[in-house]
Order: sequence, then structure tokens, then C-alpha cells
Amino acid sequence: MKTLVDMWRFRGLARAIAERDLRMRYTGSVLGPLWLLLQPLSMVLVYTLVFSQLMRARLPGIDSSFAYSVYLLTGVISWGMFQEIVQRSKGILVEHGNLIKKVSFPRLVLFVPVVAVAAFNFLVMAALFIIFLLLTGLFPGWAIFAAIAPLGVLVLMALAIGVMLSALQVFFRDIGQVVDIVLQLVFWGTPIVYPITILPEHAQRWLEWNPIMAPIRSLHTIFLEHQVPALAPLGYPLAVAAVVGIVAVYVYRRLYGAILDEL
Amino acid sequence: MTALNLLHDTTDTQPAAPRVAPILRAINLGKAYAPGRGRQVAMRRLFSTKAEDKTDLRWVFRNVSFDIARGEAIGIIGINGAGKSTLLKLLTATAMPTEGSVECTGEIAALLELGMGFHPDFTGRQNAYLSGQTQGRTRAQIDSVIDAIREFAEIGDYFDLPLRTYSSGMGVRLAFSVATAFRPDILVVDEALAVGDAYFQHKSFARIRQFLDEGTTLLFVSHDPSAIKSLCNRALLMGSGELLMDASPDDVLDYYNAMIAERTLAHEKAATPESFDGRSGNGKARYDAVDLVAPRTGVVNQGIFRVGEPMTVRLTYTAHEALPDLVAGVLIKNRVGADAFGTNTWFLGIKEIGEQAGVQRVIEFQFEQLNLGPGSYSIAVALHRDMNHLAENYDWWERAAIFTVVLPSVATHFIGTAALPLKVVVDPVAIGAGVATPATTGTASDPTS
Repeated sequence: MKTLVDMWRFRGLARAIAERDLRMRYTGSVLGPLWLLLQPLSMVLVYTLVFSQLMRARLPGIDSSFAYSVYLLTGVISWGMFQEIVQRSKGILVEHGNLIKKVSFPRLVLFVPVVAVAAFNFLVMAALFIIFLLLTGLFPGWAIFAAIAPLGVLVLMALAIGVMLSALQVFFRDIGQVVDIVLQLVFWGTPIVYPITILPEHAQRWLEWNPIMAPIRSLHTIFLEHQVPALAPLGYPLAVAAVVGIVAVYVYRRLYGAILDEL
Repeated sequence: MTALNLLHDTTDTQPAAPRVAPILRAINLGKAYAPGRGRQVAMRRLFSTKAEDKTDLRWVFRNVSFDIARGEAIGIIGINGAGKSTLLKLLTATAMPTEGSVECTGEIAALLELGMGFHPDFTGRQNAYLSGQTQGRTRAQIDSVIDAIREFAEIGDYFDLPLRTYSSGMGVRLAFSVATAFRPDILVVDEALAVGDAYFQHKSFARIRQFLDEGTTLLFVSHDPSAIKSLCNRALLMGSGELLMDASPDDVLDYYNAMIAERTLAHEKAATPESFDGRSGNGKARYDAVDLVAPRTGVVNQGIFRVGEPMTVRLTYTAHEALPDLVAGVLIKNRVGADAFGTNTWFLGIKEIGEQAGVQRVIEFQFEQLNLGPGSYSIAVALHRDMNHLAENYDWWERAAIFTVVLPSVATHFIGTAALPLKVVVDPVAIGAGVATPATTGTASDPTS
């Protein structure tokens, strides 16, 4: 509780760092925020072309020419936020080492801008996605508010993983590379680009262990079937987030003194 | 996260003491760095269930305890590597103690090791905001002082240029201005000011003094004895892995200088046995000892004197044969070796100091008022025949003693090597009105009065 009060006191710092991050990303570039969109757009374009046209991938049971694009965009945009939080968090203590060594402030404040910037980027993408849905007549209606639950679970999980990694990264710089590879594996181990039905039965069973799967599937339910998904399947990823979160707090507490010495 | 709470905890967990609770307490503080690489340390911390083995730690210091009361000005002294900066880091919670604890009940503003975590790509203004926000200030609060920060730093248009374009001096100017934009309960300054130029140093010292008057507690690390003497009312001496001394700045500095002198002496002896050490002469007469005598502390090897204090140079010498024309001389040189003052017994008309062969005698040059400007000085002493040492040089001893002159705490400041007694009169009656005379107080004189 006290930590939360402190964090609120330092909201100005969180805002300043968030603004700084956004400004850094866009100053000096001609197209500015457009780059934020162009990268995932190109990805979506390639996947849509390759999978839905060349490979003739069809989503079973749904008969719209845009269905695959909706399927893909839902997953890619949500995954993008998860990935950004993990990737930005893991190096945050090292990145702000200069500040951490010189000034004492609640270190967890540093994660607020990470989430805020990721959320900002996500909202920009989501807004365009919604425009696309409205234009194609595929907008899910009120069911869209049900997306808050799976997205929240994704953010919590990413944050827990990010906090834990940020403490370890101070000592083990290789973690950065390892995480990038693992994220790749998890991305392809989640039915984002492909529908899960193309996998053999036993592989589908294995994928159930992937905690990213349930939230993504919930989102698919919302945006493809326009239905409010059940909350129960989110219990497993939430539990994973909680366990990782507890481990993160333990790691952080045990290592805090050593982190200050090591930075 | 105890570290975070240190700074912002306003509740005093100690049982109510009859005296005023200290604003900052160090309780049995110790800091050590574990051997081995950081990742080994991390693995041990994460997976070892045993209590940490303290035997093979490299201790910076241990068992450091002190209480600091509100409004005290503490100087922290010690040679390089004594742990001064580490101590400040523990006190400001930018490092965790290995043992012991820190209790702090005030807001700290710290200027540690040049800079306050500034970002090189951001302008001075942006860094000022960021820095204020790391102290938990709101944007509106910083808005209200940003112009004052800009004005105090006096870096002109650089204020809106990226920090990487700054000189190190400008960085310090900005850092000091930002750190002192709000009056903190505790101000911590770690040698940072040494980088600034004399003008800015004076300006920042003036601000520190003003804060002290208003009740701020000061923790100040410096190698400049005059700064410590004039700002602080208490000093801590760090060394040999512990807190060596906790006393008045005078006592601590005297002890520290004696300690340094011993080290230097031991070092020089080890390095150059019997080689030239700034001493020459044919040895017919020779100094046995050169001592500086201060009125307060007696004989000091490397003394600190306030401007205008008495100082005695006590020369112990032996003439190894009868030397009727023996002359003893003293020459005070400033830090860069320029003569500040010199005289000898020939000029002073003192005769017959070398008649008795083989007898040790003492001659004292008693300066009633050491009217020298602040700084470091060395004394060369000589024994020679007649007016100067060109006739016959018995003994010439460069840097026989070294001393430092500091400004008395309440004195008006001045610059230069000479401390000229001065009285400033505005509109002296004898001359009448209309004579422009500089006023020391800086207030304009009224020509009609």
C-alpha cells in the first residue's frame, strides 16, 4: 500500500519518462509516429498474403473474406503489447542505471512508463483496427468491452515477467538475447498467425500449457464470433502471472542491494 | 523495499527520547563488496539459504555510528578510498548497507559524484524537470522555480540545449541549481563543487550558508580544508575502514593533516632514501627541526591557520663550528612557489646567533598576525653567512614546513595572497562628500548624508 502511495507521489516522474520515451522514438524521424504503424502493418500484410491467399488458409466455420485478417490482427496487436512490455522492462534497470545510482526514488515507478507507452502504442493500433472493423461491418458491438479482461491478464503477466527479468538482467546480460528467442518461440507456439485447428491433436493439448493462449483465444472469440467469452479460462494465465509476480518480488528484494552495487 | 521507505518515512520508530530526535542516524553501518563477479553474488543471494559468509568480504568500512541533529553542518574528511562517497550513498539510499541501518526523517537533496543522473540527450530544462520529479516534485512545483534554476546556473542559452553539449563546469552549475532549487531538510554535497570555477563556488557556498541559516542540515565531502572549516561545525574523519574521529572541524583537520604528513613522510623515505629532498648546503650549520607552533594546538607539522592568527616558526639548529656571521632566514612561498614573504636575521639586525659551536639552539620567528590570503603555503628556511645565501650556504631547506591559511568562519571574503588590514569609510568627514569610495557592504552610499 505504501508503495502505491509512493508511486502516486512520483507520478510526475513516470509521466516525464513516458513522454521522453515517446519523444525519443519520434524525434528526428521524418514519418514520426507512422513508423509505429508501418511495421505491424507490413507484417499483417505479409501474413495475410502468405497465409490467406497463397496457402489458402481458411478459418473453419467463418465465411468472410476478411475473417483471417481480423483473426491475425487481433492476435498480432495484443501480442505486440505483451512483447513490448516484456522487452522494454527487461532492460529498464540497466537503462536507468545512471539515475538509480544517483537518486533514491521508488524503482517500480520506472515500469509505469513502460506500460503506459505500450498501452499508448496499443491504443493507436486498436483505434485503426476498430476503424477497419467498422468499415468492413465486422465490429463486435458491446462485446468489445469484454476484451479488457484478457488484455489486463496479458499486461499483468508481461509486467511480472518484465520486473523479474529486469533484476536478473543487471547480472546476466545474456538474458536479453535469450528472452528475444523465447518470445519468438512463444509467438509461434500461440495460435496467432495460424488457427489452432491446423495442428494435430496432441500438439493442441500441449499448447494448452501456454499461458498466452487463453487470453488470445478469448480475444478471438470477441472479435470473430462477437460473443463475450467465459472468464474461467483466464484463471490459469492469471495464476501464472501471480506466481511469476511473487517470484519477481522475491528476486527483486533479494537482489536489490546487489543491483545498486552492480549498476 | 526498505530502501524506498528510508527517505519518505516520516514516522520515528525510536522510543521517544528526551532530546530532539536526530534527523539522520547511522547505526553500526558497514559496507562491503562481495568477492567475485556480480552474477556469482546474485546466484548466492537467490539460491543460498545459509546466512551470508562475511569472512571474505572486502569491507569499505564497518561500525560507523553517528547521530546528526537538525541544522548541523557536517564535513566528511578522508583520503581517497576511505569510503566517504560510499557513506554518502548509504545515507542517501542509493546503496544498501551490508550491515547496520540508516534512519532518516527528512527530505534529502544529494549532489553525488558530479551530476544527478542527468540524461545527455535532454536539455538542461528537461533534465531539471526530470530531476525534480525524481525527488517527487510535481510539474507545477517545478514550474514555479524553473526560472530561478536557469538564473542561478548562469549557463545562458545552454539551458535549452542538450546536456552533452555542456562543459563539465556547466553540468555542475546546473546540477547544483537543480539540487538546491528547493531548500531540502538535508543537503548532501560530494566534492561536486570542486569542478566549478571560483565564482560559482562562492555563489554556491553563499547559497549553502543561507540554507544553513534557515535550518538545513548539511553533509559535505571536500578535500578543501578551508571550505570545511568555514561551513561546518562538526567533522567526521573516515579512514582505515572505520570512523576515525567525530569532533570539531579544527581538531579533525589537524589530526587529518598530521596523518597525511606521516603518510607523505613514510612514502618519501621509502621512495628516495637519502636523495635530494630540497635540501642543500655545506652543513657547517644545520637545522635540526622546523616546527610551526599554533596558539591553540601547539606544535603542528602541517598546520591550518586562520587569516590573522598568530603563527610561530620555531627553528632548532646547531652550528657545528663557531660562525660569527651566521644568519637564519625564513621564506614563505605560496602554492605555486612564488615568494609571499621572506626575511632573515641579517635584515632584522639580530647578531651573534652562531657563536657557540656544537650547541643546539632555538630561534623563533613569531608572526603576530598571519596576514596571508587563504591557500596553501610552504616555508623554506636557510642558514647562511651574511645578507644572503650567495656568500656561503650552510643549510637551505625547501618546504621544511607546509601550512594552510583559511578564512575565519565569519570573516568577509577576499581574494589574493595578502590579507591587508582595511577600513572602509564612506564619505569621510575630513574630505567631505563626493569622494567615491567602495562600500564593503555593497549598499549604495547616500551622498546627502
